[in-house]
Amino acid sequence: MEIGNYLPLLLLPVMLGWVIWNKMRLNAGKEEHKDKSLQSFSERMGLQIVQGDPKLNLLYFQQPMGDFQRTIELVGRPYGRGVRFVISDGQRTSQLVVARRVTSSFGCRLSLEAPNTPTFEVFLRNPTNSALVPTRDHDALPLHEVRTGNPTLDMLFQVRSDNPNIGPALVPALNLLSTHQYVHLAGGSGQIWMNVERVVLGYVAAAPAEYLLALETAACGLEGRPAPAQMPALVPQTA
Amino acid sequence: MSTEPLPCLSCGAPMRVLEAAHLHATPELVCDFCSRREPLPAEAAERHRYVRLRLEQLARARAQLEAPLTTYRTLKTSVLPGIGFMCVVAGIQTFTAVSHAAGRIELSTLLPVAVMVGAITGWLGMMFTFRKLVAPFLQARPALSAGMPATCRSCGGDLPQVRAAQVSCPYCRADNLLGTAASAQVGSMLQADAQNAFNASRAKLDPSAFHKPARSFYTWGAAGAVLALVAIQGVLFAIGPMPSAGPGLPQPPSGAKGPQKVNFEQRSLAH
Repeated sequence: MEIGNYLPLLLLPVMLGWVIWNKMRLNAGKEEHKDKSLQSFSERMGLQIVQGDPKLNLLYFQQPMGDFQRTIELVGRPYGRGVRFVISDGQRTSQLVVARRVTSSFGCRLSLEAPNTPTFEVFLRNPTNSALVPTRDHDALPLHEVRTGNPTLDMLFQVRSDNPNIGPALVPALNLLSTHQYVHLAGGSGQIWMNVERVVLGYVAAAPAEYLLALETAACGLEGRPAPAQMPALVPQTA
Repeated sequence: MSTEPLPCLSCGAPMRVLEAAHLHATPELVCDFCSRREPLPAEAAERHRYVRLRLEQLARARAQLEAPLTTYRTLKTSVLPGIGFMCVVAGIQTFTAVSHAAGRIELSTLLPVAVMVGAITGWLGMMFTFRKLVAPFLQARPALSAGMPATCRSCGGDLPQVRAAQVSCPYCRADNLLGTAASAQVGSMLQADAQNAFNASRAKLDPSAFHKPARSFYTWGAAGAVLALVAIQGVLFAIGPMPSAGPGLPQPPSGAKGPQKVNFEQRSLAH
């Protein structure tokens, strides 16, 4: 008996089982990380879904087959000022005469309204991974590095602005971001925002409330108002 | 989180704090008896919010530290079906090699057997490393006294009293292993817990421990595969040339050196 002749018959159920098993694993992963679904994500930030599938899991942010264009939009006023989270994702194929050009596009931004915000940008000095380098919006502007007055934060972050006095106002927000591996904060044109890269979408989805709080704290700091989650004196201060 | 129960203004029953929907939401106090609801006072709400923020930060820091365990979990679930598949392939390969063996078996034909053995030894090594190095860090802290709940290894919050091997912390979502030892050896575990806390504070806790189970899979797997190859080679050497078990492959003519060369030109001419 030549067992090799029966090999395709043996391999067929194995391959089918493999595909089904992988699908089951993906579903189990989505169930385990259901806190990163768009529905849960919006609830954790206190936003409402305007566009997008509530079941979409931001950790398993898969692209549909072929050309597509999708926009996910969440809006709300969790701290009393307008907040917007947008993901724009797409793929377009141009049929040329001798070639085919596939253009993929992705943009994601969490922004909040903050009138009279000076132009600034903050990012990590030494990200642990090249994938954690954010897209900078103000590179073309003549901004200078400014100091926050906190040596630890100055070592961690690079703050660039046209206003040399902005550093200390951002300290409470930077304190909140000091343990994060992905950091981007930018301000100007009546907004404070952070860009989110595709590869860090899952990371941001794990801590959306913290990032939103950091943006709100930055806005409060720049306006000279108390931050929304100040540390109360849990231990009585002694003189 | 609240230790002092707040009496309801309507019926006097203790009120409980409802979990806030999101970080910046002000939690509500609710009475389970008369259903009275009222917002938490501003100062308490701010403190509550701050503690929630700290728990979020703690959960994220723990997730970052324990991220390598994702590889371990993936290997743990995927290697066993892989071993099953390799068993089928190795069985077929071995059967074919033995049935076609004309005097001797090529070592390369038994490579799937070595890979299968390597996968098994790698899996065993990974499980051993996990249990020895990582599982102790995932144990819940034992209860301070009998009847009290065990506490979370990460945030120290009370864990639900369940009959299960693992429980998730309701405050920081950390997975805690619940062993029988947690109730049987409270004293020694408390002492070990204190020692662990001391070691962690002295930075003796090795964060690379969470990488080691997955690495052990490859180390032990490679070692197992190599040992299997050596063992097979040894067995083959010991039993000597095998008798032909069938028609087998065409034998080279006597006196020929090296592999037989087929003269395609002559064959085509013959046709």
